Amino acid sequence: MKKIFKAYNPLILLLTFMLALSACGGDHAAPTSNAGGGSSGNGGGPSSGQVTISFMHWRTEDKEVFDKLIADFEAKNPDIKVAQTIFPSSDYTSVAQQKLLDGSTGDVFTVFPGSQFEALHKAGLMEDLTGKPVVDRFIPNLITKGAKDGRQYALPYHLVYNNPLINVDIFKKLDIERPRTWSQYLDALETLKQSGYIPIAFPGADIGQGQLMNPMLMNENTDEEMFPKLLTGETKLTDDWFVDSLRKWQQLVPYFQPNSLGTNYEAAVTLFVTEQAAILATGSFHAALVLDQAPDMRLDMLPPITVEDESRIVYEGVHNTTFMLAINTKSTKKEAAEKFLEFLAEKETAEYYANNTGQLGVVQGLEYSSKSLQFETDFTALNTRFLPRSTIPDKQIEDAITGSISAVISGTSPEQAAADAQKIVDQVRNQ
Amino acid sequence: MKPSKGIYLFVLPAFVLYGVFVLYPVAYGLFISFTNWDGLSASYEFVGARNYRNLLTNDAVFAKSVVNNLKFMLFVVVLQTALSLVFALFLVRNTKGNIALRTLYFLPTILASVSVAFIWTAMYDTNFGVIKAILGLFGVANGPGWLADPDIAIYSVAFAQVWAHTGQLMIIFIAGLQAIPRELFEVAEIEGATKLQTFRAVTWPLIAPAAAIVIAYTTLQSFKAFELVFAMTRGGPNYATEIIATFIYRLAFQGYKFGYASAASMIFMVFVAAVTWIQFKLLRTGRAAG
Repeated sequence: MKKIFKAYNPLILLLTFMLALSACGGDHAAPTSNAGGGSSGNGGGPSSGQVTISFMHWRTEDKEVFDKLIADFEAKNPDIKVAQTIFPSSDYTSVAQQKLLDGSTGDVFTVFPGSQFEALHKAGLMEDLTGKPVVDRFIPNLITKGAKDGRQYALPYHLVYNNPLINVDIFKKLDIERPRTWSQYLDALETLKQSGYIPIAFPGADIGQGQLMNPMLMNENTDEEMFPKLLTGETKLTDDWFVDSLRKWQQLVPYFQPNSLGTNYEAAVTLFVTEQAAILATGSFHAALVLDQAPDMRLDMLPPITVEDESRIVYEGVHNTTFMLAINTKSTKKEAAEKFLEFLAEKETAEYYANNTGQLGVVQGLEYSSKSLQFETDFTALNTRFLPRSTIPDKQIEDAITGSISAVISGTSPEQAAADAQKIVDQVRNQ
Repeated sequence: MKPSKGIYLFVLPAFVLYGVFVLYPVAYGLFISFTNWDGLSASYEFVGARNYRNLLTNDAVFAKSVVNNLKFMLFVVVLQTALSLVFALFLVRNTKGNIALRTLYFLPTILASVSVAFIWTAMYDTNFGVIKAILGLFGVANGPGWLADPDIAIYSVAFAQVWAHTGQLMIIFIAGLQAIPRELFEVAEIEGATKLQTFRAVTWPLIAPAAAIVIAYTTLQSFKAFELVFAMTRGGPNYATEIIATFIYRLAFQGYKFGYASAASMIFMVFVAAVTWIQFKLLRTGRAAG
């Protein structure tokens, strides 16, 4: 018998070694592309001197709109071809930097604000756009998240409101006024529940925590630097502002659908569009998707007001400026890339894009005709705060924060969840 | 007769490929594990053993991912080995029905892990999933949160892994069973052995090498179940399904901490080799004693 085992020894050991190694590798995201598989090689076109640039982004759902815009661009610039290379947003952070490093993909690319922007800036992968005419086409106070040390490296193309969507007709039918305090908000949720609705469709399996945490925190701690200060130890997740916020999350749990941590955003949207749920805890970026499935639904946004005293309301919602356009410093076709960036920043282009994708834009003077961009409340007139989550300086800390929310939803006390999350922050600080 | 030295030239291409694609990446990963490289910048600093020290003494998420990986592995190894062996025993004869059933059980193996993840995520969905619908037929309105409950989520994911790979391992067992000489079963029958006695005295000892392969393979497969776990839960809720591979991925590719992630990879590699070695030793000892 030993002989038999000895005969298998080398095979088993080889298996062990190879499989252990292969566990650590692999490219797990498959891109979609409209030309040349994302290659941006020189030439490749029918006429000599023609260049193909790569436009790398994460908006799979916008591919057709970009196809149309790219066709317009190519008609105006016959020497330039544009290939879209699209990675899903969930994989974009992990894939983008590798693709950008060798310059073969992403002559023009998009970047998330926050940690990805910081990392790409540190690596010197974004061309300095400061002083270029294209910058002047954007609303100045909405492009600050693409700037660093007074230099402009990226230009946000989307203005997103990360406030929960509500079905206006359900609220009107039940005579629910817009809550102005936390008690009123909980009363509204109770009314919805008593009337047979799931008050909040919460996608806790993927994006829910990272979205709803923003309006939940906007008035709990009004310091824009509350998260960056975690790294210096000036703030802690065991401080009152964070623990109080977790306590309010605990109060929300009975108003989510059962097993909300196992619900992904597609299922949450379905609960909302089928009118089983009255509130969808995501943001304006889902308005187009909702209206696509329920065209007659009237939408508004209702961020939770977490304070009891109306005079303590500083912010009435949160916004994010994202899908930031940048040019790769490693690109060998920067001139063509700049032309494409200028084209995207033209009012007509940005307006077409906004109205056909349901995304508010950051280019100046846009007029919106799409229903998904028209809410009952004009949020552009309100004092909204830049997305707190986007200011978290470290992915491990971000995971710890969203993890603490999951822990509270699954029954851990807010104090314990906050203490566990702070341990991770302390560990990150020691790295 | 001693072979000519020239014979080593024949293994050179394979050795070069192995060196370039295995040894060099491992050596480079080891080098990076002593730095704070972010995966993007041209510069980095040497941090000595700090990454290893932090991982082994101060990183609660890493510790949790190791524990989760062990839970996942034990569940998969025990259930998958047992099920594949039972299926193999029932389907060992080459009848038309058995061949059809073997094909059916093998089918999930050809699916990509991500497809398996989508199938099971949809089935486990507590709002619209088929399991909820079936439980509803028995009057259970709110069943378990298969992927939402931190206490059971890792086992729910592990079950999907078992579903996907049992058929594959069943084939290995069937091959092992079919290689056993029929005469041995006939002798056992003449001696009046029961089915259980025949299994213990004839079948099991002779398919033990196949079982060793199955267990070793399943163990390693469990450690590298990255795609399935990531596609189903992304390690959540609150790290309840975080395994070492997802931990490493998130650190390196989402957190820009390649140095730290490389150190975790090195520990992972040693850990997997150690677990497999212990398992193999136990199997050998067990067989030798038997």
